[in-house]
Amino acid sequence: MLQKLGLQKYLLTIVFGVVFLSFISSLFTIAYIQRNISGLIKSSEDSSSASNNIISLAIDISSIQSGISALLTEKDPDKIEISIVKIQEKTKAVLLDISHCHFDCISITEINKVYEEKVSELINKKILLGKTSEAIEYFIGDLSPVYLRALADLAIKGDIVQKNTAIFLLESGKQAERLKYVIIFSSTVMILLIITGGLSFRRSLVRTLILISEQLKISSETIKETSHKVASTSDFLSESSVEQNASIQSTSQAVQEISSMTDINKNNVGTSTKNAHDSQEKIIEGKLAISKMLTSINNISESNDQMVLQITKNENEFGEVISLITEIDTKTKIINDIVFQTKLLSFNASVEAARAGEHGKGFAVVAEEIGNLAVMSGTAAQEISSLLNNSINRVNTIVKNSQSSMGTIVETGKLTILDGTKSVNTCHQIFDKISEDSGIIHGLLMEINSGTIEQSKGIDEVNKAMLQLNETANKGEQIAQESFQMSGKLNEQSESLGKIVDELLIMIEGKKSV
Amino acid sequence: MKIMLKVILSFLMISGAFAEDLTKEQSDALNKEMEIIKKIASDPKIVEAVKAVNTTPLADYKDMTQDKWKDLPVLDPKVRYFIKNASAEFLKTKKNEQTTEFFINAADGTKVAFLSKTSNWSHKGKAKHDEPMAGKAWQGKIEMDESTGLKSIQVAVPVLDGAKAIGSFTAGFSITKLK
Repeated sequence: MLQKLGLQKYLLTIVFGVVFLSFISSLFTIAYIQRNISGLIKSSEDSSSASNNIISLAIDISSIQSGISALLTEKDPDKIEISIVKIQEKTKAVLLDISHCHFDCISITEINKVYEEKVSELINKKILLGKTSEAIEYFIGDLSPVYLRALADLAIKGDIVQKNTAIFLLESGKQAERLKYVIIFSSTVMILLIITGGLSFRRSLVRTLILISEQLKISSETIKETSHKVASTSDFLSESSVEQNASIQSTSQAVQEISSMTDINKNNVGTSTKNAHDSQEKIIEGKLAISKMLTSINNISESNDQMVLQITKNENEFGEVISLITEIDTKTKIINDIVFQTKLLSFNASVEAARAGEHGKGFAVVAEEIGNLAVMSGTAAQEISSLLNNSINRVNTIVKNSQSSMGTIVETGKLTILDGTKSVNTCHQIFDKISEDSGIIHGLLMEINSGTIEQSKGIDEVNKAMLQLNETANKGEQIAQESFQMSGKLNEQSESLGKIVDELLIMIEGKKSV
Repeated sequence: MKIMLKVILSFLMISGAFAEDLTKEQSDALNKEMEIIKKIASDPKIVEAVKAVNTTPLADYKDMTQDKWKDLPVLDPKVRYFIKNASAEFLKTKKNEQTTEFFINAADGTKVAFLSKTSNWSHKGKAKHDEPMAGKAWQGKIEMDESTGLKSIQVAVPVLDGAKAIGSFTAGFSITKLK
């Protein structure tokens, strides 16, 4: 059998069987001991809790009793108040202890009820009303006996608990003795089971191990083949990842260039929009200038009209001047008449002077001088008349010439103003058209600007997506490389597993499998 | 048990009341205490407090009766007022180990201040108040004091405003400590 199985395999079987049976047997024994120990601990805890409970109750009741004792002679209301609060707290503690009672508490509950009533009676009806003597009497005669009865009852309960504990300890000793026999018996049974069961178990175990080894060998081969496939797939995946990575990088660069161009476009559109806006402002300024020019032309036209009026007025005034000159001419004719009469008078005077002889000589000289003066006046009057006639003719010529030239100038000015007005209106219409077109261009530029911004955002998103794709591709490449490495390791492991299976089969069967 | 205790206590009280006299030593000590309480009674704080109550009776106590007073717990604010007011604080500074009780009555026998709750609201009609109001000092007998539960003796002196008695001051002393 040793030759067939091999020493290691045989010993392994025996050890495994012993360990297994020991484990099962130990489990049973531990469970049994645990059960007994749990019972022991529980009983011990119960006893301990009951004892603690009893001690706690006794201490609290004694505290109340000593608190009341001090309260009987206390006169300071503040201290009385504090003492009463403490007594009330202790009373609550007693009630709590009773509520968590771990022993037969019926009698102590009843006693406590009576005790609590009497404590209340003592505090409220005696101490708080200042009836010290009555309080002392009540304390000694009524309350203290109940307190003593409670303590006595607690002492009895304590004795019972102690007695129960002693009984339990005795029982525990007996149980420990029984446990010893149980352990001996179970150990004997265990050894027998190990011997009989171990042998039968070994056979089935060996058979199972052989089956497992064969399965492991098949699995190892399968893993080897799979690892080769994984290696080739990983290689392919790695190459694809590298290509994909390169494509993504070039695409990413292209997108970045588009992004740069979009940024430039965005800036150009922004500048154009600004220029269009500035042009619109200039157009408005031009239109304003045209309006001002139109106003100026209208003002010139008005001035022209006023000039015509002024010329007409001047003509009238020239007419008046002519009238005055004519009137002066008339008056000059009167002077001529007077000159004629004066000459005639001078002649008559010289005649008369001559008649007077010697006496009229002086008078004749005067008459002669008057005659000379009349001749001079007549000459001057004729010269004046001549000058006046010349003036009238000259004025009339000037007026006529002026009328003719001013009419031509005014007419020409009117025509020029009309042409200027027409040109300005045309200019105004052209500016309106330019303004309208500029507004349309501005609107279009705004739309282009919005579109460019949206396009820029979209490109940013595409750029981010490309970066993510790039990262993903990098990771894919990394994973592919890791996968390739892992497939190599898997291959090594499968070969190693194959060797282990061979060794296992040699160990189980004592020879190498075919 | 209860009946037996009552009998014993009654016996002790009765025997204390009728059978006990002060020794000479106790009598001398009591006389010394008497001089001290006369000084306390003549202290301006006490005199002014009694005058104040006589002039303006305490409003919260105008319906107070003996029965109502007996039913008041020692922690009731109406009782505590007399233990906490300025006169009571002054009295606390004057008590010694022999002292079992101090209380001051106004002219009508109602309370002005005390160390611990008195058995009665008004001591009018009782010798411990009436005699001091007549200008005389008063000394009681050895008794078991209901308010202290101790065997004690009480003395009382008038509270004088000049020569006129305006209230009374009662003090109780423990017999066992009176030396």
